[in-house]
Amino acid sequence: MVSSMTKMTEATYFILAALLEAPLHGYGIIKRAGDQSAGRVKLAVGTLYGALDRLTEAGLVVLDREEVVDGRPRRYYRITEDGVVAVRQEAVRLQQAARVVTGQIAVMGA
Amino acid sequence: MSATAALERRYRNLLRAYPKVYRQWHGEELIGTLMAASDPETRRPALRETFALITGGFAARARNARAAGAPWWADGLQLGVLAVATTTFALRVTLIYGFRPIWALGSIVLIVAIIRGWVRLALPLALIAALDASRFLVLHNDAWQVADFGPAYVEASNILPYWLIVAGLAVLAVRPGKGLPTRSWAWLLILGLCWGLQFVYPYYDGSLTWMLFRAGVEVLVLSAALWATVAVRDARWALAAAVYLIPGLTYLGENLSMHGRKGFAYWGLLTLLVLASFVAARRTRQKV
Repeated sequence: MVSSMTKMTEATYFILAALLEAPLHGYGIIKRAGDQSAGRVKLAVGTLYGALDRLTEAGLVVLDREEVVDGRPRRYYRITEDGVVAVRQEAVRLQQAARVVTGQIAVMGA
Repeated sequence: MSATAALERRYRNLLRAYPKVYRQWHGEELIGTLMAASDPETRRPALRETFALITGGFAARARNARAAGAPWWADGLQLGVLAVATTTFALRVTLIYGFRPIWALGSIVLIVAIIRGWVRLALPLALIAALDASRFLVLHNDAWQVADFGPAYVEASNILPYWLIVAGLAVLAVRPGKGLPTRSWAWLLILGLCWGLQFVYPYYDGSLTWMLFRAGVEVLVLSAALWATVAVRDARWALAAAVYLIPGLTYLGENLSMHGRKGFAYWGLLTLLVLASFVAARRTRQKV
């Protein structure tokens, strides 16, 4: 159950957004978060895994599957239903916040 | 050594910031991601990544140190009570002049009981210690008729730690639910250090070196509590730090005239760190 009070950092928002399309492994999340934020969010690996730990604990992300590549485990993470709800709530909040400014600018420009 | 091998070796060294259990589960995965995200020509980790791994490792340690199965407040309260009990008995049990064997032995048993989470044993022991320590204040002249296991005090700041331990344990004893977690045996090292110092330097606790050492440790530990609060995002460390600070602030309040600017600045800093921990816990609550 996602609390409507759940607050999100920008990094967390883009991590969840990166997982919306399909499960991804760590490096995949870093790349997609970078692409989707137009290069603004450059996740350090230490930061990414700290965020994944918190998101997993909060039930917003789960481990999807594990592969072994070059002798190393590669784990894919998947967003949960609660995760989708949480990131959607944050997106709506950001949209409303943006509308406050863009609406006023439109009025001023008119 | 190739650039890739050198870089991987340095990443592995940095991963030592994480707890062993975390490394066992995530270590190779992290190395794989780190190597994939790095420039293949570089031999040294970027400063930004180094910082993220060190802070991430500390955060993982803080999360790992949480007691499983106990609510945050019980975890914090047990830790705070243990800190007060350990420092009180480490600094007040004298082994050379006026040695009281029952008091010394009782304090070890009490601290072991708190470490093990045995509240039903710890509470009566703490109550006996508190009653004995405050016998003069309660019984006045009749105090002589009471068994004097340990030292008796008349100042509130000297008696308060004992009653604080009792109050904390009483709250933990009536808490519904499962038992308390076992704490690290390393707490006994504090007893060992302070008691051992008495043989090397009998009046060490009045020396400037000791006071500076203790002040440094307290500032470091309370700063770590603040950082851990941000990592864990609840108030368990803040509560433990606040419980620990109560006897010190009582001492400050009782001896206001004896403290100069430095004293106030020091206690002010400790109080600020604890308050900042509570604020951090509140601000980061429900933040992912």
